[in-house]
Amino acid sequence: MKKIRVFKTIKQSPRWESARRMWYKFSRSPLSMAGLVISAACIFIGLFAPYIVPYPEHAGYFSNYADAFISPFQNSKYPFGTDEYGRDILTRAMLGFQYSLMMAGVVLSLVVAPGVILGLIAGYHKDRWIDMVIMRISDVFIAVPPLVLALSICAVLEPNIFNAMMAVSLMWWPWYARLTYNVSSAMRNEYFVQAAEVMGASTFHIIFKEILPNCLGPILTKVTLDVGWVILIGSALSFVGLGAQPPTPDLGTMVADGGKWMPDFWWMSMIPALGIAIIILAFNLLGDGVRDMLTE
Amino acid sequence: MAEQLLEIKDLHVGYKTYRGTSKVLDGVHLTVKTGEKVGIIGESGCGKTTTMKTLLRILPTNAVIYEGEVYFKGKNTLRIGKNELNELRRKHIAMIFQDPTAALNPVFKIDTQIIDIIKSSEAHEGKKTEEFKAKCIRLLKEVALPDPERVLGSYPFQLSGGMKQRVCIAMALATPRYLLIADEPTTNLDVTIQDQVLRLIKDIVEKRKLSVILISQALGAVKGFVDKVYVMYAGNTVEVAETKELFSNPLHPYAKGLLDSTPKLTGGGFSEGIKGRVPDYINPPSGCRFHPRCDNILSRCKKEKPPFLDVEENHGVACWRYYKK
Amino acid sequence: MKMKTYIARRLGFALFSLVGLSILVFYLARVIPGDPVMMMVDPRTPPEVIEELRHALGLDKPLYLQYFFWLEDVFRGDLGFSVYTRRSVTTDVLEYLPISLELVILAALIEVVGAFILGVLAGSHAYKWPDNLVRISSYIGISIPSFVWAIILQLIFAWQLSLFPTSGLLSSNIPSPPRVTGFTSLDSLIAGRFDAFVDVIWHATLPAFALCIGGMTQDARMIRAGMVENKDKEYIAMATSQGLPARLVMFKYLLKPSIIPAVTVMGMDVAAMLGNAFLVEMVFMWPGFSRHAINAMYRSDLNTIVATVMVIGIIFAIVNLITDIIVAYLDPRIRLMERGE
Repeated sequence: MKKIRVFKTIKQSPRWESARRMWYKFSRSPLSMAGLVISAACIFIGLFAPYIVPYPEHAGYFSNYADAFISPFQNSKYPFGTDEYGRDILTRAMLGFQYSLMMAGVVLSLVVAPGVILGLIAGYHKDRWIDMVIMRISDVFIAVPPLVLALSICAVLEPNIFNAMMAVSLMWWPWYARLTYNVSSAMRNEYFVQAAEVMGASTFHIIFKEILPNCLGPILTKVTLDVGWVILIGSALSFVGLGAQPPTPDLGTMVADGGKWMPDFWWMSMIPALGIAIIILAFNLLGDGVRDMLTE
Repeated sequence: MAEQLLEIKDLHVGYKTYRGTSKVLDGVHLTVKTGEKVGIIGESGCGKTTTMKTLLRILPTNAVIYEGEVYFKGKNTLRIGKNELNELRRKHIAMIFQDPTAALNPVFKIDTQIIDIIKSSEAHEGKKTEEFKAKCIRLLKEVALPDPERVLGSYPFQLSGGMKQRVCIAMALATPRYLLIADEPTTNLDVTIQDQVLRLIKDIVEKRKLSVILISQALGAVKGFVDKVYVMYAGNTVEVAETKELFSNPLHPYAKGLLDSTPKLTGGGFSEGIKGRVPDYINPPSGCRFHPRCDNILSRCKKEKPPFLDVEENHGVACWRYYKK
Repeated sequence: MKMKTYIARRLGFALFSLVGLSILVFYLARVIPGDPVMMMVDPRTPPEVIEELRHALGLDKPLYLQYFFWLEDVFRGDLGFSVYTRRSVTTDVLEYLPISLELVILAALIEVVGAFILGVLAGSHAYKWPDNLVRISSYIGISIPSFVWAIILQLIFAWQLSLFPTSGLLSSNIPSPPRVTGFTSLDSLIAGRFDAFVDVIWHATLPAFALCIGGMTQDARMIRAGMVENKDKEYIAMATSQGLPARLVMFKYLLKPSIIPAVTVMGMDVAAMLGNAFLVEMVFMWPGFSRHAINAMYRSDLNTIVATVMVIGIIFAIVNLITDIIVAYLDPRIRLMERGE
């Protein structure tokens, strides 16, 4: 009896109502739903790739020259064809998903929390010296197109996927600081903040319990959209050879390697390129849906 | 005998929202004769602005006109072509909007906005910029704006609410018109300015001999100004009478409650207001839309909508209690 | 505040950021890779010679002094020595930068013009087929990175359809014009060589499109969104109610407030274009600055890397400044309402 009552209470609470309303709004857009489904599929592939790929041994050094250069859509053995070493493109592309999503996951986990916290602090103490310091430092990182900065950092370090992730993380955090700063500094003068101050709430409480929940909307939207952006920059870096090194199956590296064989063996570049495009598209649709859902 | 300038018959208009269709106007009737001054009173959201926007056909994209007719000088404005419609807007009807901040384009200076209106009116073809500017200054002086030069060179956000509303009034007068629609012109202004702006409108109307539709929530403003008053509730016209008659002898329960709610200088305390709330237009009440809030309903009120008919001379009401079969 | 004050403030911010950037880049280039002297010399060199070299290059001084010396050099136009090309970095920059700029300017033009045309088309026919087409293309446009676009365009239009050349700056049978500005297209015009001019543009078309398609579809969508959002605003209803001609309302009173967010984004795109050009330059073998920089990065040529980042940073700052000025001109609220006036 008690369990049912608790459930009922939750279902009637305003939080649940607003969650239901947001989901209703989200689910009415076919594009957003498509984004959700495809993103979920990509994440699934990313998590379980090594277990579900047809040829797990094709991930590293492998050669089967008898089966090399098979074009896609010909037979069911290699649905997307093979590369110059006879490795199955589908397998390597799916493993590539894993790398791309892993990069996005690592970078965003490293970057979101510090960026947001710094932005909150700067926003709350707007126009004091700490605001100036934090924002000027992040301005420096924003002053250069992200790709260039990532490239130059990678160039002075040893090229591997770990350094690529570090480089991207280093130049990504300012965007979160800036976003949070814009939102929180606007909220600084709202009445609910002043009320909390008057009541003697600690700064910690005000920043994290009053201001932060109101920033979560734009932050969540940005995180979703950023998955696509990080993967794009990551694949650009490996395209240039500064990220994952062969024979690691990374989508960007595969596009670069396949470039040598254009135009005759176009699938070696195009299939991984298509993979990149699908992930980015899925998370962009999802991110748009999240943004629409959170703005009334 | 003054001729019929405007006649709105049984207008039904709704808005499509993601929750469903919001059927706002549920049968609106309105007539204005040439030279007549008409007032419309009613609470926020009862469809006054929607009616006016339908007349000028400037409804937002999600609006739907279901049925009804709007005749201006004999022509059905809901059916005329684009050119005729634009001529109507340019030469016959002018509207002053409720929120002057929203009504002025934020990225253009005032002089650009006024001059474009003057330019598009044919009577001013071939004239030079200085002449236009001079005319603007004259207009701004007519609406009692100090320092017209500065106002002309400003952007809307640099002006106060009262100044912006005066600019809107000036824009409405930039070219000669017959009918002036003033949609709650003072609701968004400071109380101290409201009186000034109302007086200004009154002066202008009298000087130029315009027909007016004044929409307002300020009953006092309406009382001292118009010949005839319509009362609207929830998208219906529920009562119409000459001003004196309406204020002394309101028939419809809503009109009675409304007039009763106004605090009077003679004392007697505050009234209780009208119980209940404005209906949800997506699921409106059946029959008479006022019945959930009415103290005096008949069984018929829940089932059928009362027609809007004259029950006394020049006094119309939509209520079953007065319907003499 | 007036326009001049606004510009001055923006300029100040830009300079400050550039100084900060220079410090960051300098630090990265000098400290992280390890000892620069050791990287330059043969490992068998005796330590005294290494010390002498270190002293001669000023590398034994504290880091902040090194920074100031470097800054001094930069202002004198000396960007250092390139280990990769064995020339001064300044020469390299002057040779390769205009070629990249040609590409970027063409791409920027295409992006702005294309975005306006598509965006207004979609906005004025909202919810009908031009609008849906633009919306779908914007999703496709943003998902496909520019280097993938480069490969796709090259595959279809150059390899398969042979409509455009697959790579390079000029066809092999057309001699290059004498160098005046470094901009091959301008130099061709100056020398009266119309054939070379057309040839360069022809070669630049595919890479330029690859650079700007993603951004162009995004901007078109933003313009469309702005128009649809503002269409139901009260000031448009008022303008229409005054009987202003529909064209005037659409293309003046609706367009101006609607394009403001799009212009901001367009500016950012163009500012970043030079930095993003290297991928496209690689695919199309366009002999530009970015491609040169990548090669230098492979060779760990630190001076070129530093110079590249600074040049790109400066251009980024300039373009952003110009964008800010344009936006301030379009939207008076921005320049006149800062700090809660």
